Amino acid sequence: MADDQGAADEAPRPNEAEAVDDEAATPPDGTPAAAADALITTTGVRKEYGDVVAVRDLDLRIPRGEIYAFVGPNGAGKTTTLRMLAALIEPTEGTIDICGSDTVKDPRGVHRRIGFLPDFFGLYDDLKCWEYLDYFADTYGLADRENAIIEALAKVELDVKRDELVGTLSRGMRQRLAIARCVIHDPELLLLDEPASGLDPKARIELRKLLRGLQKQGKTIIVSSHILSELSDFCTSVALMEKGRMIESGTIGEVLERSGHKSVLVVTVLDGLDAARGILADAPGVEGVERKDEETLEVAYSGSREGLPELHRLLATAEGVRLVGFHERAGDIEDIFLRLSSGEAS
Amino acid sequence: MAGGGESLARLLVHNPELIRNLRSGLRPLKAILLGVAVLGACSFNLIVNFAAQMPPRYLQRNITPEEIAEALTISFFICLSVQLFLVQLGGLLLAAASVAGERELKTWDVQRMSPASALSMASGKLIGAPAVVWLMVIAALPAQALCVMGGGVSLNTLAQGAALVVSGSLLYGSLGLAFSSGVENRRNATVTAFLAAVIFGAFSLVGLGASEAWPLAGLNPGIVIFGMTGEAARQFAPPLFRAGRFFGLETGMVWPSIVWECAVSAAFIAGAMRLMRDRETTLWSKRQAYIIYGVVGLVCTGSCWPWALGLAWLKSTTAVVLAVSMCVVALIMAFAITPPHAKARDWLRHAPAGGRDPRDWLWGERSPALLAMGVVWVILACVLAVTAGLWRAIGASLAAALGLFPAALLLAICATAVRKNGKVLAFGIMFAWCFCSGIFAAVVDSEEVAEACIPFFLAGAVMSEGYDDAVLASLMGGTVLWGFVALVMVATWRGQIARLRRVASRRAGG
Repeated sequence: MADDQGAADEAPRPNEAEAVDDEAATPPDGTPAAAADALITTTGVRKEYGDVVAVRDLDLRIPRGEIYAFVGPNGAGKTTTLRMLAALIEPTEGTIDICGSDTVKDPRGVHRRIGFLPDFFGLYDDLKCWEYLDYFADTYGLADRENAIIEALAKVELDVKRDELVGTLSRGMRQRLAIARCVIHDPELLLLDEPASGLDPKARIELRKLLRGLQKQGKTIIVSSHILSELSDFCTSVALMEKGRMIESGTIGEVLERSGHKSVLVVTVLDGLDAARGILADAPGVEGVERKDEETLEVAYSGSREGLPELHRLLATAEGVRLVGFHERAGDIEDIFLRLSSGEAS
Repeated sequence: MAGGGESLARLLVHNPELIRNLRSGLRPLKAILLGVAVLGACSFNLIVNFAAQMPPRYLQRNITPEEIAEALTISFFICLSVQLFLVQLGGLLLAAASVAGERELKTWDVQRMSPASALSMASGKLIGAPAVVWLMVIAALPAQALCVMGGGVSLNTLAQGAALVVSGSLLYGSLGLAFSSGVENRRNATVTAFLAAVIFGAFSLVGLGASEAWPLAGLNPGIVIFGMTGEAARQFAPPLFRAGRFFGLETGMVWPSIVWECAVSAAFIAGAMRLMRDRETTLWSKRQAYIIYGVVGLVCTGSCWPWALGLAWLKSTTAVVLAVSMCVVALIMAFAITPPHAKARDWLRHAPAGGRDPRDWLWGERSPALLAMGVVWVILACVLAVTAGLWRAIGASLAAALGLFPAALLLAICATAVRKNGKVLAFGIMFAWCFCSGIFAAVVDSEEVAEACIPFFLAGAVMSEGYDDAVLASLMGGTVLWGFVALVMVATWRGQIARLRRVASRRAGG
C-alpha cells in the first residue's frame, strides 16, 4: 500500500499536465531540445519468444506531446513493443524508461502514468458503462469517482450511454469507452494498439478528432496500426516496423525526405486551372504537373513538407485562381513503407 | 489493529474487483429470480426427502418428537450436502474460469494495468466469481433453518455446517483460482483444476478413514450424491460417509479440519498471486495439458472424473470410442475380479432389485419407477445432445446406463461449462436429478430404487462383492484404461502412430 501511495505522489498533477500542454503546442521537430524532453526512451530492446525474435534492437526517444505511430504489417512486432512499453511484458534485453520509471524495476509506477488500450479494448460486456469506469476509478483510488466518470464519458462523447450495458454498444462506442477508461486517471501517456481497427469511416474520423483533442490536453499518444492511411494525417511521427526491426522512424516529413519520396498533391480549382498550373510549375520542389480533368491537377512534389504551406499560400492568393482543394494523396506513406520493406528505398 | 481492520475491509468489502464481480454476476432481476428458484427448489427437495425418510410404519401411529427430529436431522444434512456440493464444485468451476476467462476475453491486461494488488484481485475473484453459488447457498438457508427449529439439529451443528461451507468454498475456490492464474483459457483451467482436485479426492478412496488429512477428499462426488439420496443410499455407503466431510461432524473434528483447510487455501491463494504477478507465465500449453490429463488419469484411477472430463474434452467421435471401450473394459475388469462362482449371486445381490429376479424388476410392480427413470435419462441425454453435441450425449448416456451417473453428470457440467449459460444448465441438471431421486425414494419407498437412481460410481463396484473389491477393481480398471488413454493422447500428438506405420511398412517391404 505504501508503494502505491508513493507512486500516486509521483503521478503528474493537473497543473503539470498543463505545462506539458504548452510544450506540446509546438510540434516536435526532432531538435536536441525536444529529444532531451523524451517521455519514452528505449535502449537496445529485444524480445524473444523461444527461438522467435519478436522485436530487435529497438532504440526510441519519443518526446512529450507526440502522436507517435508504429506502423507495419501483422507480425511486425508492434503489439509486442506496445506491451513492453506498457510494462506488461519484460524485454529479453535492453531497458525501457517511461516517464522516468523503468518498466522492469517499477512496473506499477509505469502503470500509474499510462493508459493502455489493447487491440480488443478489454471491456466487460455485462457491466454498465458507468460501472465499468467506476471499477477502474476505484482501483486507481480516485477521490471523486463520480466526477471522474462524468468527465471521462464527456471526453469521448458517451454521456448519453452512461447507463447502457457495455455489451450493447457499437464497436465505435466500445472503442471510445475503452479510451475513456484509459484516460480516467489522467495519465501522461496513452498506448493504443490498433485503435482504428474495424471501425467504420465515421468512427475513424471521430477517433482522429478524439486523439487530437487528447494531444491538445497534453497527452503523449502512441498508436499502432497496419493501415498507414489511418494514421498518416494526424500522427506527428512514425516508426515503420518489419520483422521485429524498426526500418525507419522520424517525423512524417523526415521519413518522406529520407526516402526520396515524391508526394503527389491533388489540387482542385473552380476557375483558373491554367494559371494554377503555371504557378505550380515554377514553384520550388515541384517536379511535374499533370492535368487530370477540368478542375483537377496532380502535382509531383519532392520538396519538404514545410514547403507545402507556402505552396498552398501561393495558390490561394493567386489572381484568377479559385482554390477549393489542396491535399496529399492518401497512401503515400504506404508506398514508402512498401518500398522500404522491399529494399527499394534506403 | 485499526490499520489491519481497514485493510481487511478493503479486501472483503470495499474491493473493486469484488464489486465488479458482484455487479456483473448478480444483476438484480437475475439474482432475485435465481434466489427464489433456489429457495423453492430447496424447500421442495426438503419436503420430498423428509417424506422419503418417513417409513409407512410411522404414519400408522403417533409420531414422537424424537422421530421428527431424527428425520429433520437427516434433511438438514441433505441440505448441507447440497450446499457443500454447490460451493465445492460450483466454486471450483467459477473460480477456475475467472483469471483464465479474463485472459481469453483480453481483459486481463487491462486489469494488470490497474494498481490493484494481487491480493485484492485474488480475494475479489475468490469471493465474487462464485457469487451465483453464494446466492444459492444463502437461498437454501431458510429451509435449513426449519430443520433447526424443528429440533434435532443444534445451533452448534448449524454453525459447524456453515463454517464447513465457507471453508469448502475457500478451499476449492482457491484451487480453481490457482489453476486459472496459470493457464490461458477457461477450458484448460477448468479441466486441470478438476483433475487436480481429483488427485486429492483419490486419497479419500485409498485412505479411507483418514480423509481428514486430505482436505479435498470431500469433493468425491459419490459422497455428496449419497447424501442427497437420503437414508436409502446412506446405508449403502458408510465407508464413503466416513471418508467424507461428515466424518468431522460426527467426531468433533470440524474445527481442526476447517483450520487445516484454510491453511491449504492460503497456500493456493499465494500460488495464484504469484502466477498473477508473473507477466508471462502459463503453466502449460494445450498440448502439454493432454499429456497431463493422461498422467493424472493414471494417478486418479478409481474415479470417474477423468473419464467424464476426458469425454468432454476430446473430440466427439474419439469420445464415443473411448466411452464404449471404457465401458467394455470396466465390465471385463469387474467380472474378472469377482470369482466366477460368485458372479451370479453377486449380480443378484447388488442388482437394483435387491436380489429379486431381474424379470420382476423389469416388468413387475416397479416398472413405473423404472420407466420414469428411463424418461429422466432420455431428458438428460436430450439436454446433453442440444448443449454438448449428439456424440457426447451418446457417450454420456452409455456411461449413465452402466451406472456411472456421476460421470454423466460431470460430463454435462464440463461440456456445458464452455458454452454460454452452460453453468446454469449444469446446475439445473444437478437439481433435476436430486428431485428425481428424492421423488423415487418417496414414491416407491425403496432403498433399491434409490440405489438404481444413483448407482455406484463405478461399474466394477456394482458388480463386485464389497467396497474394497470395488476400489481394487476401479484401481485396476482405471489404471489400464487411463494408461491406454494417455498413450493414445501422446501418440496422437506426436504423430507417432503414423510414424510407426511407416516404419512397419518399410520393414515389411524390406
